[in-house]
Amino acid sequence: MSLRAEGPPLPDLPARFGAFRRHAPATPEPAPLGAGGGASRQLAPAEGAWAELAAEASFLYRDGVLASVRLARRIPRPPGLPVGPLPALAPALRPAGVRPPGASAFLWFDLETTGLGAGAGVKAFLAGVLREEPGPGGGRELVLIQHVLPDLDRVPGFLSEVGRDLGEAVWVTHNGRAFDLALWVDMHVLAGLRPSAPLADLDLLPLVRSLWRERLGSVTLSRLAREVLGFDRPGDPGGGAMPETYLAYLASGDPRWLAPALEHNAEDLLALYGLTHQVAQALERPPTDWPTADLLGLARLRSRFGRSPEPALAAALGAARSPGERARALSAWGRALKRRGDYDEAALRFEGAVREAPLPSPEDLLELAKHYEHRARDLPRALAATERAIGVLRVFAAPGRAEAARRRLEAWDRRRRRLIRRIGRLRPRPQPLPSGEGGRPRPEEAQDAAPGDRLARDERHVPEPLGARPGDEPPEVGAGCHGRLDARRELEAHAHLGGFEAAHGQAQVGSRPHRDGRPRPADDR
Amino acid sequence: MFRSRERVVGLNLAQVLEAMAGDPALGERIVRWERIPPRPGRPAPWPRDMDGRLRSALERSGIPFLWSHQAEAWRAARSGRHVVVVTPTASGKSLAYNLPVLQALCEDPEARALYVFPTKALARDQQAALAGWLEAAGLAARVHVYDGDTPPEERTTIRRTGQIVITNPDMLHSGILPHHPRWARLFANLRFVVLDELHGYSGVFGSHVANVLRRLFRVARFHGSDPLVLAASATIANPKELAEALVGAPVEAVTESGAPEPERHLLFCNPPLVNPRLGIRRGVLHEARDFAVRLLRNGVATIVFARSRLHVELLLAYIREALAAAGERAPLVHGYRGGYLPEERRRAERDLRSGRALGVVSTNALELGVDIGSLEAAVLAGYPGSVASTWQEWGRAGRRGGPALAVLVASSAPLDQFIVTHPDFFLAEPPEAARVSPDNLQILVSHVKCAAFELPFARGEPFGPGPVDEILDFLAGAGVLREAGGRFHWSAESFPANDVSLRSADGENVVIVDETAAPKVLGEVARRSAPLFVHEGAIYLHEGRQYEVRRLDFAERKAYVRAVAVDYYTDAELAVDLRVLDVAVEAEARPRRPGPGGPAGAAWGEVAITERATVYKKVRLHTHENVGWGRIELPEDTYHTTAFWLTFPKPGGAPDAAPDGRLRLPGRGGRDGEEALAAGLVGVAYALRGLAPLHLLCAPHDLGAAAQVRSPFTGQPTVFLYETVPGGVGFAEKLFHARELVLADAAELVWSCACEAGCPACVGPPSPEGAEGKRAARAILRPWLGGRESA
Repeated sequence: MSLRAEGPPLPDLPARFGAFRRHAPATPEPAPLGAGGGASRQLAPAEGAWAELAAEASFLYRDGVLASVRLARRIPRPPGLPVGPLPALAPALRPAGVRPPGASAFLWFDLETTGLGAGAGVKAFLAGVLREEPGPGGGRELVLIQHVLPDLDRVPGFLSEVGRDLGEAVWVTHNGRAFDLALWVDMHVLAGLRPSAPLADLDLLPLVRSLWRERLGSVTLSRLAREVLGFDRPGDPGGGAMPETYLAYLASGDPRWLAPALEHNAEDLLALYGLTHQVAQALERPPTDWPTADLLGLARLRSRFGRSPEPALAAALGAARSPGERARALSAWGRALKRRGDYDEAALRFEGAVREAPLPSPEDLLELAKHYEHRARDLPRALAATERAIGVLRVFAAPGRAEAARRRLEAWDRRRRRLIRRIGRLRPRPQPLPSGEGGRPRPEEAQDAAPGDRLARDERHVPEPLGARPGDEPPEVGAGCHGRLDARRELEAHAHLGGFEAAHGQAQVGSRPHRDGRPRPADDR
Repeated sequence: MFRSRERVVGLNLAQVLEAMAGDPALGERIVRWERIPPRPGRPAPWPRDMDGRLRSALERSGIPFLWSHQAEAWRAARSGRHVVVVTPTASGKSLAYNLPVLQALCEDPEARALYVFPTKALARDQQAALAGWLEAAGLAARVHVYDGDTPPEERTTIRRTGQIVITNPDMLHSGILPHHPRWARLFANLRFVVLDELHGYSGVFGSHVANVLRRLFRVARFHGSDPLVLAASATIANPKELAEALVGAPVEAVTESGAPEPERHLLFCNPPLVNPRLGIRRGVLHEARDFAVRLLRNGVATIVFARSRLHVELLLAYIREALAAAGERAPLVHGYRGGYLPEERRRAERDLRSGRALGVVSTNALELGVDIGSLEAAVLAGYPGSVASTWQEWGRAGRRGGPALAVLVASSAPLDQFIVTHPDFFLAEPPEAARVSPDNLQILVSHVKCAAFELPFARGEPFGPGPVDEILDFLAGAGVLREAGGRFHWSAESFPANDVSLRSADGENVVIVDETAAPKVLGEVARRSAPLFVHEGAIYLHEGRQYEVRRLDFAERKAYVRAVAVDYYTDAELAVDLRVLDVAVEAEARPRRPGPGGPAGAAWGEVAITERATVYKKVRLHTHENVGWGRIELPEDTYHTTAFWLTFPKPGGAPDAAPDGRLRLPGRGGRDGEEALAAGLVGVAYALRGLAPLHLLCAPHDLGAAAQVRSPFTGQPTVFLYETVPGGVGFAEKLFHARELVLADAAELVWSCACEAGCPACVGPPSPEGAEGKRAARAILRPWLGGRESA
């Protein structure tokens, strides 16, 4: 089920907090609160104004001064949000090895600060804590608690009060390791207090990054809320506006200036909460309706968490919309199988990837070369795969990585020469395949192809029918090996292997059914 | 093999010295050949309280005893007194401050030390040395460099576990102190703060550093530590005073070096007059080139110090050309200056250490203790501006014993001529005093902001000598701080340390982008200097290569250049306008004998300086003739600073000057008296500006001069000396207090100079219109003649 496409529409979360915005002063108003205008004026809790911000506002005093304004509200759990088994996220916890007792041990934590960078002078003025609790009628309910720092001199009491709402739990944050938790500790150090520490912390950022960064580019909470959970935050002023709202509050004493900050913090927490469940759910049961890129990320995440990536890879292959996506899924699957020790299956996937890819990955080709050489003991095919890998790498090595490419080329060339020597010892050099057979391009086609045409031509590349016998196709030994060849010859060498490999394909693996449940390439056409 | 090469080279230097002594062409140039005999060392026994591991590590590395100054520093540090060691280059200063730190680590593995070096290069040097000692003593402590080049992934570890952390004042200012909670372990256990090259912390930079140290001690107190300062300085007149001003507490000075000194040959060279009537001498660059080439061709490792970045580039090119023209295999010579990229500098350092490069042409960047190995000769192309710098630069030669040669080639500048014609004055003169004014309002306010960001300020809390409540109230009024609960809290979004650059009042740079091929960054130049050096059409020199500036995007701070090969370089002119804003103090400048028209007035106060680059000349390489010019169309730059000025009585009958009061060098319409007065004032300003750096520890470019025949402010003929650093750092006030002495020196200089009508050594070269300049300047200064004796 996709949250984006189907299912009941998510409740309009911004509307849920619309009360905040309604009461925000449209233009600066004179300070309605407190006495006197001096900078050191003691803020009097103007209960009326605070009450406009949340149903339940309490004023927490320490040693006779207001230490925190605690705003609390209960929110029914939005029915459209996924429910994931949160303990599935245990491998991402720090310190490692903590086993969270259950979903109730999690809380979501987010700070809004007086400055955008870090440093001793930056303080959290708003700490939001979201918890899941049993709700009426056996359902789940969310409890949102927000603490506001009444003035800059109240930090020690504020920290203690927030600490009471945190307690022994798994604190889930977005970039908390670098920011929220680090700031939390800094503020305690400055206040001369021992920081309340979580049972464990779960920074969701690396997780969402591996799942969605490739496709979305940015993985800010508001972007993820929109793209993954399907809710927009049209009125959100963005995190960058937070310091300003607090400074306006300090200058005026009017808590209504804080409304956008409270709303932003609440929405961030809800997004974080929804994403946590979404990630947990996907980890547990890989969805079938995600785009391939996301599923490949999920497969990596599952591997990192010690789970099998294969269900996610199968889903990724199923979701693939283009040969390129199919090739990526097959290649990743091949690697997973290889890690598991299932070399023959892995080779099948690599062959599939090479067949599908508009531009085969040289690494996949090399995997095949190793397989042919050491397991299938088919040296000519190993040689052909190596040469094709060399050809691809030579022509398409990423600029700026020339040195790495050069080192790889050297290693691969050693492999190539070793294969030639071994082949030479085993049997006489094979004879060339008649032109036009086995996918070798006609000379004029090859000559017309400039490097720039490469992709276009390969988009049309069609795997040859499997069935030729081994040895029919000669590996073009010189290609891509002796010094620099021009691009045309590289292409020739490259195209050459397509035929060669196809010519060998069926004899080796073609008789086996494809395990991935997908139609075989021949049927695919 | 390495040793034998050194020996051969040493022999070469002795031979070169012999040949030079017998060279008649040199005889007329070298006005003084001073030989300072070698001096044996004064060893001291091992301190009894030194840890055995440390002592045996020293003994194993071939150190059988300490020198006396190292032992003295040890005693001071061990009894809990801040200490500054003031001894020459290569006397073992670093060991003097390293030993107490290593001892503390032997006694307490939790002890921490923070080393502050003015440059990154020194930090890397010291890291290697310290790591060696730690290993030799079997100590597990780690030494880290924390600066802009430290990779992010290492920073967290260093913050948590770094025991000896080496950094620079800038990083301490913007990368460590504002984040002190993350350095809690370091600050809680901080036993020592090591400050090397203390003499470099003078003037504006020093005033900033003094404030950074105030912040450092404030943060350390917060975390419960009270670190001891171990400092080292080159020889200056007032190391104790400077150290105390920087540290803000009594500091014991160890000034007697116990280390042996090599035999030194100091040569004062005055290039021959090529036009005696005009006082024009052979150019300092050619003269310095000839010395350098002579030494380099004989395999003598030589450092050449030039006085500006442009001179570094020109000299480098000239030396390379001359070496190449001499055939054989030309030795490798590097350039070294600010504006080069770090990797270029590291390469030059490496090449010099390994002997791959035989020579280097540098600005004063290499005056500091960057390890460039052993050099035998130093050639100074122009007087460095201070006695202290001169000794420091000379000290670069002869680091590893053996004879050392140092040559000072004088330029035509008045200060150079004064030094080279009075070598006794120079040799007898104690090095200058280094001064800081940490309470300079502009500097102080910016650091109060940074300090408030780091920890809230209590009303009445001292920062430096006393409380800064007025500043706190001002900042609270501006909304930057907020007073709550009796403390001033930082209450702005910004990060204040980013707004303060320690190195100059304006830390912005213009990046120079080479577009010859794929665009790449070539170097950078300070924003304020950009109109002079990278205006459109300028030839920018880098590592001896020429680049033409195609486009200067001043708003984006980028200059786009392309490599060219032309036979000229460019030299831009700056028009400066001065307006008085406020007078701090006024007084008379009492003459030794009464002059005509009554005493002169003196004052210092705040002024506004407007600078505008106007035109540039194209100057042919080698011949230095003018081959063309162009206009510079760039916005003017106005800044406020402090100035010292002298108001001279109007000579009887002298007519008023131009209506705007600004000095106009009289043209056809001018009248004789006014012309003479104008030229005389210009001459006085020239002489005063040339001499003032002797009284202040400042470089000549730290001061500007202006003359107004009828100042709109004073209504009188007035000469201004103003500080070129925005805000000023107290030079104007000091000149005001030393006014009679400075005037006496100027009078002495102008009256004793044998030139006819002015020369670069006194009132400046005579201009076609101002032939009367020298006579008029003499008349203006006459009342102070002989004033030095009576002062």
